[in-house]
Amino acid sequence: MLPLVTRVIKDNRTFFIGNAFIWVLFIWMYVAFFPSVSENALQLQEAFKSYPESFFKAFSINMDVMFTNLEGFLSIEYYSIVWPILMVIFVLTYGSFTIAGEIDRGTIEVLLAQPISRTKIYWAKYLAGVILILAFVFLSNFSVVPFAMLYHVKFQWQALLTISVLGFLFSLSVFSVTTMLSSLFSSRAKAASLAGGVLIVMYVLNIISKFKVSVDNLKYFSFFHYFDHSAALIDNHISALAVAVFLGVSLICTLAGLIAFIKRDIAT
Amino acid sequence: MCAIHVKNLKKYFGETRAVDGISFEIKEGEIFGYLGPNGAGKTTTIRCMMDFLRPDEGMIEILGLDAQTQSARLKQEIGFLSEEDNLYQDWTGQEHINLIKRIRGGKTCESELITKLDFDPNKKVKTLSSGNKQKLGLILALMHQPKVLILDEPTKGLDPLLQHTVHEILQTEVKERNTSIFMSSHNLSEVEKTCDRVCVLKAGKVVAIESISNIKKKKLYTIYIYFDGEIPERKKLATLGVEIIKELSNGLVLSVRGEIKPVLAKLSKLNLKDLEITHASLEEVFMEFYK
Repeated sequence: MLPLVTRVIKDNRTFFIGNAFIWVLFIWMYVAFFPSVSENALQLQEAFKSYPESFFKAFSINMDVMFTNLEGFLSIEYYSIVWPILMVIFVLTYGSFTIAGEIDRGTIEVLLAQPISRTKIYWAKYLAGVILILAFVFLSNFSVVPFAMLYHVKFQWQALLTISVLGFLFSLSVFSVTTMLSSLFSSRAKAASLAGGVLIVMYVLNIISKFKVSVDNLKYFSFFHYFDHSAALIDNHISALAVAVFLGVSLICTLAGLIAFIKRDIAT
Repeated sequence: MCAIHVKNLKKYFGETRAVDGISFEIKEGEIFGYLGPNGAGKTTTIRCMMDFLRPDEGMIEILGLDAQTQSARLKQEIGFLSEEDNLYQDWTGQEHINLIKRIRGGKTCESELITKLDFDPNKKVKTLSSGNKQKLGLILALMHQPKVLILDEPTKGLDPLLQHTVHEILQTEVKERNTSIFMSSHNLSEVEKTCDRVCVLKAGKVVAIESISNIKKKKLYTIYIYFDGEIPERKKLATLGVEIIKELSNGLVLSVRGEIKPVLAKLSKLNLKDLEITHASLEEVFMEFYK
């Protein structure tokens, strides 16, 4: 299994470096901006007061810390939209390729012709994905540190660690859903578009639930509700429900994907 | 001992009966040809043997092991070549070889094969010609010296010289290691040169399993007859009990199945100028099966 894991990681190195570069640029931009934002905190808070309450609720904006500490600022500017979008793009691209992409291109036959079971092929692909996600989560969160030092901005290690754990759990569940769909279909595009569709619906459900009290319960069907970046960064807190949902979905989807891959016909 | 045993194999895709009750056995050290027109079920059978597809019914045993439940263990002893170009386009040949060496372990003979097939392993697959991709596929199938080779059109895209080299390699495998080879092919001269027995498939069913020598002995003749004057009416010719393949300016080409003597007796009553009898080629015999 190890040769396959290392091979998958090697195949994705250019993709990883490209994504990592974009990510680091974003982090650099936000951290570089923060000192001037912090200096003008009072004026900015005054300007934001005219916004409706539901807007702050929808994007989990905490006005008290938004412009006064780095974690609050990153929570709004980086973790509310940019981080999840970049992570979802990365996970969908890789996850949809794991099985469906190999079937699409026919390369799965190279692997299936070797003395290695489908279970091991699946776990090798899955493990390589988890390693890449871990690397991305680490890089996308902890690259704040050198830039914060460069611009003399205070930061909290504990907050970075908490958001990393939450980010990993969020990415793992998105990856597991995508891998399951990748095991069910023979077309990478189909697996990616279906997984993308599911995530868009989840995102919309989360936003709608915050604007309308009558549909408040819809938020429980969205990963984005459980990805409470504000609580993780500002309060160093991850809810037990979020952990349970992310781990539960990951476990169920991963096993469903494995069973589908073992049982299915593979015709390239 | 039987190297491959397929019994009552069935694989349906909805209403399509891709493989419909196929049975055959391949002995150790035998080269077994698998023939049939497109859509006959050759690749589906191979994919079932390789456990890519799960049969709806039937049993496949290779080297005494079940091809489905003991697939991973069995593949240690199988070399496989796909009909299609299923290689990683961004990898070099060497990268393919390295991965397979790492997965399989054990002794390999890729250097010898690279030399014999005159292959450059350092080029990326996407830059290779179809013939060179086929060479790489063959190297990957043969490099670990398997006991059973399952090859889907092994010489597809290769020039005649390389085809000859591949035939030599396969025959050496059989002679030196008693390898059993199952190969599908459209190339009848290749089948004639390399195979001991052939299985002819039509619409998912086996229509014949014969040794090459027996197929050659099939009583199928082609007769060229030339008339002194006009060609007799078709009505009259119908009594001959033969098939008219072609009409010439002053004669006919006939195909005769079975005993030729009664046909010759009837032909002698016609106004013949000349007559030529040939045994049908292997291709013509197969065409008979395919009809």
